[in-house]
Amino acid sequence: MSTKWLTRLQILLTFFLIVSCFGALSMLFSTVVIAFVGTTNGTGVPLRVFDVPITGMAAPDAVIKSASADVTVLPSGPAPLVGLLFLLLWAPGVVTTLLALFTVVRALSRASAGDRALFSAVTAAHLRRLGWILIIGSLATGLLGVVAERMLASMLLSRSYPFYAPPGEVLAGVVAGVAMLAVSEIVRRGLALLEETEATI
Amino acid sequence: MTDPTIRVRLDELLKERDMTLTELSNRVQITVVNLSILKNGHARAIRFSTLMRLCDALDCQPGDLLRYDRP
Repeated sequence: MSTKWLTRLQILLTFFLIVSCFGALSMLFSTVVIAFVGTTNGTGVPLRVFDVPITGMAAPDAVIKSASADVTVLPSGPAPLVGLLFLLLWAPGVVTTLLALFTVVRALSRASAGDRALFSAVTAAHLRRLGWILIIGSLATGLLGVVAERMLASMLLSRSYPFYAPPGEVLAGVVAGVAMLAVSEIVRRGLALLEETEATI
Repeated sequence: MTDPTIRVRLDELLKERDMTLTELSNRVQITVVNLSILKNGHARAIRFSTLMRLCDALDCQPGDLLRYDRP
């Protein structure tokens, strides 16, 4: 079968991987600046704010029940602890994304060697690894994010909340991870069937 | 301890009939590679159609071809 589109997908994902690496480096640079230099108009810490004033925002025949907003807070002067917490806020998600992309690119790199190389135990192992990366990475991102956001909010905002719900991406990541584990098992069992057929004379 | 195996007695039958694996391959239209897999006991299964062609070419019964080896 033609593997042209898979090769193109691999090139596209490799490009995304490189861009993501640069993005991660720039985030790391921003974190270092926040921690040791201080920013006055550069990158700040993104936080969620609830109970935003909403007076006069609703149309005459509508009522706004609750509101939340994303704010970017710039700590004045060097703030090592804020930098560390900011690192915990973004790094797990970014590392999970980079590892997942790298695993997919590695799995797709076998496509050029033919269908039999792609539909193999190595690909099943790559998919299983991808599944666990997504599950563990998403859970770590959610857990560390909740703790880091709670502490950052108490340090940088005049009013904070005891619990900040993790974003929906965390659940999506876990679901995608479980799906990858299922696909890996399907490939593994399909391979066993194929080997059985191939070994029949 | 080795597992029990089904052995394909191609070697013995070919020797009895003074036939080579290549000749058999030409008669039954099965590649020498696949016949070697059968002969060396690396096959997982054998099709009835393959068995029929082998029995036809070697003028034998399936029971003459297959042997159950106890460990």
